[in-house]
Amino acid sequence: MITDAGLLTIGEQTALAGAIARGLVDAAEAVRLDRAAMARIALMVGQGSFGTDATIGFVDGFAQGFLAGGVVWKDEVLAYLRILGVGVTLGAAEFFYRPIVEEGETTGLSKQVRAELETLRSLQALRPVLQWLDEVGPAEAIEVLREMLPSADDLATMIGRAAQKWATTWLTELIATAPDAVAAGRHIGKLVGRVAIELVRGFLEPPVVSAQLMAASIVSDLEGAP
Amino acid sequence: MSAFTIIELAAGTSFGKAVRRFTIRIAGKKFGQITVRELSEAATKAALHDTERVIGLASVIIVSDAYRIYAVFVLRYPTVLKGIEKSTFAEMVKEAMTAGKRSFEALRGLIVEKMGWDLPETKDMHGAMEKVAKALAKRFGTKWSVPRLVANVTDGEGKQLGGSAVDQHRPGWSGLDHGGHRVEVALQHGGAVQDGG
Repeated sequence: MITDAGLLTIGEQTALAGAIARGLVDAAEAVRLDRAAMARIALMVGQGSFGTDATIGFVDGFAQGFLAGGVVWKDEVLAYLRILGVGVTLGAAEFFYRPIVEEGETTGLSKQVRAELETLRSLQALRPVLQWLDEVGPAEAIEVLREMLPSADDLATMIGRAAQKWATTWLTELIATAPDAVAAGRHIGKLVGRVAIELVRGFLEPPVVSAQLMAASIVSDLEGAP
Repeated sequence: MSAFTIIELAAGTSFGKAVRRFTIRIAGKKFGQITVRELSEAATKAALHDTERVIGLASVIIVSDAYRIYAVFVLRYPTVLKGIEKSTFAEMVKEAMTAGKRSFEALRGLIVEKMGWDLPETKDMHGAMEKVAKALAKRFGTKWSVPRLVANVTDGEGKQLGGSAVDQHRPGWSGLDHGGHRVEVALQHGGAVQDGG
């Protein structure tokens, strides 16, 4: 099912259409695509219906990317709880509503218990996040998109960076879609949707980036995304 | 591609700022305290069969429950819990429930032991001790030292013998300092391994 671009206003659609066209061309120029690839993109963007079609694809792709990232996030949180034994010794529902010692009441407790309380508290704080991830569907994803409509500059930056990072896969796939404007828009939308949800996650989670974490299986689950 | 490189794509863009505003709006203050990235590191460890955190999680749940139980107990048994702080009680419960067989007997033993430390100062206990002293003097003669109330009496293997006990020793002994002998002393002459106060 295609998420309907009509969920956005005409103004929003027009702005998005312009941003996709300019962002794609700017990025292509910035990464110095070869002449043949540039020609394919120029041809596609030059179509009269490009803006409308690309927007349809983008909106659908955004919802897909956003929701896919949400599923990964939720799976990882639940996997973590399973590792901790929640769900075996304690039901997940019970776990999240279990009252624990308040922050101001920890005087006298051992250092280890206080540290574990902190862990438990931050785990319990995930409850509203999981609830939210449960509630978010395509329509909600588009509501999210309305609040963060990317500008042409934003798209040029993101497409350009994606092209530099994964030139042989991401950009090649994009060029291969030409002249299908809907497919191209969806390809970009998926990326931006995934960026959005990963940003949300990144904002909610402290940016602890360690070599150990990068090597962890959790991160390897994201291989191939978006 | 990792999550970090995906995020990096939006670095410095107004799109990134818009997502942040959105996040703040949906998240409110509550979400701000989440520390999942660190937890992910912990999850990595846990995946490597590190069960320490599982135990830790169970123990803080027990501690939290003990806090609630304490609130009820302290109203009903103020004397029993006199001098025992909420946190001390919770740690005691945790110790009893996460170590060994998780038995309630072990928990009772810990509470009695804790009481043993506080009770020697009470009048009732002193009265009881005098009676024991007289009985002992009658039975074993008077060449024994004045009995004293001790707590935390253990055998040679460190096994707890009871909550409180009366210790009395032959002249010339320094009582409990004699390691293995204290069992004999406490049992023979105390005979008073008192459980339950």
